[in-house]
Formats: sequence, C-alpha cells, structure tokens
Amino acid sequence: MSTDAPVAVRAVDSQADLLERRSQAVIDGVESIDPDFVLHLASSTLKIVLDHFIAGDGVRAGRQVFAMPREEEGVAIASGLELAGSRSVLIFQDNGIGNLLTALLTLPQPYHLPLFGVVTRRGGLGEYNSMIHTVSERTEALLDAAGVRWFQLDARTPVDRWAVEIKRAWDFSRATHRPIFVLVNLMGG
Amino acid sequence: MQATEVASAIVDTVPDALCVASLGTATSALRAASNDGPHFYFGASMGSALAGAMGVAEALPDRLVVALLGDGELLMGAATLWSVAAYRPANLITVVLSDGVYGITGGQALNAPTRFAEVVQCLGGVTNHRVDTAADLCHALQTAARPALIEAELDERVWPGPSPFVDPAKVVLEFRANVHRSVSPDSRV
Repeated sequence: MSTDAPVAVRAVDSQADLLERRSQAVIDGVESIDPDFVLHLASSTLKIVLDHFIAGDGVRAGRQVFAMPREEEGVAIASGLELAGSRSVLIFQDNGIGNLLTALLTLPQPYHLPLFGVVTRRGGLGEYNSMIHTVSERTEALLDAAGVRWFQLDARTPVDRWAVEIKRAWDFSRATHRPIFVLVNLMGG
Repeated sequence: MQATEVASAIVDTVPDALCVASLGTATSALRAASNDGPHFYFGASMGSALAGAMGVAEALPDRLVVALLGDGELLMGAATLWSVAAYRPANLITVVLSDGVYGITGGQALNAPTRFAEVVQCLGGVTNHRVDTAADLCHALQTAARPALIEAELDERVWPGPSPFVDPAKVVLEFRANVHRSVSPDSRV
C-alpha cells in the first residue's frame, strides 16, 4: 500500500498545519506584548489563538480575557483600559471591521489613544463561507478610506517573522498614539 | 431633577470617583457640575461610554468609576449591560439620565421604554435602583452594592450649559492626571 495520501487529503492536512503554525506565530506575537487584557470576538479561524488565551498556556494571574458581543464595544473597553494605563489587545475577524469604524474614528483616533488589534482574514483562499468575502475582501479599502493604519501578515512574510512583526506593530501603535491593526491570514494565501 | 442636579449629586457624594460622561447632556452636565473637572468626556462615539467606563474600572479596581449616561446613549450601547453583568466590575456605578428623549439632537423621542433598571435586574449581577430626587440619588451612590445601575428620572429638561464638544487632548491629559493622583484611603474601593 502506498504511504502517499491522496492529493486532496494532503491539501487538507497542509491547510490544518498552516493554520496551526500561523496561529502559533500570532500567539507568540501577542504573548511578546504581554497584555493584561485580551478582548476577543467569537471566531472559528481564531480558535487556536483564542483557546490559548481562554483556557491554555495564556491563562495567567493578572490577565483577563473578555468576550465581546460587538467589535465597537471592544474598541471602547480597550480605550478605557488604555486611559487607565492597562495593556490590551483586540482579536477579531475582518468581517467585523465595518462594525467598529465609528467607535474607532470618534474615540481612540481623536483622543490619540494607542489601540492594537490582531485581525484575522476571511474570504480568501481556503474560505468555506461563500458569503463572507463580500465584506472581507474590502477590509484594506475600508481601513484606507478611514485613515486607519494596518499591516499585513500572509505568505509573503515568513511565518517565523510574524511574532516579531506583531510586536513591532504594537510598538508603532504606542509610538504614534493611534489604532494599529495587523491583518493576519491564518487560512492560506 | 435636572441633569445638572444629577451630576452635582455625583460630584458631591463621591468626589474621588473617576467619572465618564457620554456625549451630549451628560457631558455638559458633568462639565457644569464639576467646573470642568478632570473626568472623561465623550464628544462623540455614541453608545460607547459605558464600555469605556468599564475599561477604566477594570484597569483600576481600587478606584470608584461612575458612568454618567444619557438614556439614548445607553439604548445604543445596551449590549454592554450584558458585559457588565458578566464581568461585574465591583467599582462601577452607572447613572442613567432618564427622560426618554435624545437631548442633544433636539428632543426626539427614544420611542423605547426606558427600563434599564429592570433590564439589569433580569440579567443579574448588577444591582438596580430608580430615583427621582437628588437625596435618593446620593443615598443610592453611597449604599448601592456594586456594580450598580441607577436610573435617575428627569422631570425637567434644561440644557446644562457647557458645550458637549470637548478638546480631546486636554481631556485625556487631565483624566490621566486624575487617574494617577492619590486619593483618600477611605474612597478607595
């Protein structure tokens, strides 16, 4: 019997492996920030990352993890935390960008508050939801139109550089006193 | 009661509290009552003020935080009541200016029942109070188990006076100074 798996199975395995390696890189990047608060939305593609902070090795004394019902609530809580001197990271999917724009542009942006988010990409290669691309493919355009700075991590950046780049993006948010998002492609592409 | 009486009751009863006021009537009233005190004034971002106050409260568990909100504001950000009920910051009091209209925009009706006290009663984890006099408000501020929501019924709509449109850089600087100032041990939570 051949030890080679059928091509389709190899592809699925490859995507799962990709998801795991990229998710771990995101975890490493966020851990290098060492946030006091992790604010997240529900997400299937972020499951590995969220599991780490909710119930895995990311659980630690002094760190709190809040599930947010909407992205704009996360923006407001993160802004309050920042005002009072705490470190927080928002984690959510790009299809929620539209929800948070008003809060983002009328709270942390004009008050010059650093705010940092890791945003997972949806709608591209490997996507299984046939409707989500209609908003997700417009993420960069929405953020550009809003004047919100973002950085992209995908196949063009070696995965072993991701954690470092996430930390650099966090530092950039602190240095420039504004919201910064890192768009991470966990699904391929 | 008028909105400024509500804000004055807060400033006089819990003078060391960090206050977060939503845009419009709440910000104008708190500015008037505190002589532009070092509180956080939302100049926009409607629906975000309770979440912002929750962030401050979570970051500073030993400081009392009072969110002063319009009822239209809270209606727009009502989902945050669920987060407050879930995470139960024991240093947060929410005071709602309840008159059933959007004050800053000219008095359009909410066309929604202003029954926030009953909502948090259903959610659990947040004590609920309804007051219609300054004396009762002072009593509730002093005695309510926290987190608490106090619905202050307004029977007279008078614009408090100061502009609700604030200088965000000044607000942040003064609020952060307030965060870092030493307060009486008696007023610590």
